[in-house]
Amino acid sequence: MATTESPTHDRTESATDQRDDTDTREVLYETTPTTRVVVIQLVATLVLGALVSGLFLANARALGPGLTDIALWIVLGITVIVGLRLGYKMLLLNRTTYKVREDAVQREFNLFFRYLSRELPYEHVWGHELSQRRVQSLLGIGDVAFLTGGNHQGLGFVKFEHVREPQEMRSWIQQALQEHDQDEI
Amino acid sequence: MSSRLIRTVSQPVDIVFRPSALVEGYVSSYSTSLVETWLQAGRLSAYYVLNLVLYAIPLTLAGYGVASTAQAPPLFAALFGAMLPNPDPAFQFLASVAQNGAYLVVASALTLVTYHVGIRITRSSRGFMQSLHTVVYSTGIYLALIFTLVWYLSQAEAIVVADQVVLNFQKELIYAFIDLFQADLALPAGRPTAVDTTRLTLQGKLALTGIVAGFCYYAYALYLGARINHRASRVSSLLAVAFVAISPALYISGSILAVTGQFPVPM
Repeated sequence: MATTESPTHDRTESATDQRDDTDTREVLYETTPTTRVVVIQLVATLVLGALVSGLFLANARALGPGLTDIALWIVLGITVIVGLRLGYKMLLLNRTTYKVREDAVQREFNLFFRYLSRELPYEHVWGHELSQRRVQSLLGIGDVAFLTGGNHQGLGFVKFEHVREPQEMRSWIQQALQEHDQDEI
Repeated sequence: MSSRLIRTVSQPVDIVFRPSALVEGYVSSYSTSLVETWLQAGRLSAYYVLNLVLYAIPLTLAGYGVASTAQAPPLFAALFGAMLPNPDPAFQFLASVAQNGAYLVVASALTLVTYHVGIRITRSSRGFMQSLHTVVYSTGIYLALIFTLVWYLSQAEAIVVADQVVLNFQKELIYAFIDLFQADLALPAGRPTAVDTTRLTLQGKLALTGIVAGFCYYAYALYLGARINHRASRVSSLLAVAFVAISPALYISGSILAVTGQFPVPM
């Protein structure tokens, strides 16, 4: 399954292709990412953008006549662009699944008739890292990243973001890695 | 090949919505072999030159920027005389393109030096190629946009107030340093005067908005480059961008030195 040139491989399919439902490998743990952090970021962006825009609208000459309009457009533009990005990220996360299989970890998503599956076989995992930023820690979520080697233009770094119960995910990964190592011996 | 094509096609979206995708370099390949590093340097240079040409040629064709009136040198006439009955217009066009592009090249070089120095000082550097990648994309796109809009303002006859706003800002910056060093210098156009911004037209406001947005993206792209390509912390990345922000100060101070012959010392 794993190639010798790249420890991870992507499988991208177009609208006419189907997901491979014949995969018989055991799935030890499966979860979907949470969008709570992104929702908070989106709400904060919209509120802050609205507040600052409101200030500029209420004080048309705050920065000088004419220049206040420019500042208002900049704030509105930033709010819209960041809002759209966060909205798209929410959509992506809603359509993403993380799987811990018996022989690999897998991240897949299905969006706008596009399907992407990225797998990292255990024999190519050099290490894994659980990280929780402050907001994530408060919400009980985190990121799990896998470190691989090789020259593969960035694909070697696989990451599960916004995982709901990251400690449980990490436990399953550690168990799967141990079992894989024992099988190898 | 298909991934490169997709990346090229999605670039306009990335320029606005995902600058991280633009500045993200192939960090792992820069450290694998010298040959790969030189190949990447070549690709980056080619990309930069392409953007430079895309910036300078339309500018020159539209009549903006510096117009050359020099006669074609004998070598140029000898090389292209067979194809062109009169090589002077072709030489003047190429010379104008080169001169118009030179401003962007100087600004890019200054950005690269100050950015990499900033990265090194914060002890975050993972290599010069990472900085080169970041600066090529940030200057080739966002700085080129800023320069294009500034040239547009300076040449568009219908836009007067916005042009004065930009000129005044530049004058204020230069005179701030002239006064700081108490240099006996004056700009040909004199000190900045008050601008009646109530007379800003919609076109002028849009152009100024584009310039401000360009600067925001330019700074953000440099910040992202430090975070992604050098894996720098937030503070280190901000410091690296701050170093680039002081490059106009270095440029103006250097110009004062060049003109006065005296090392500028703040009074």
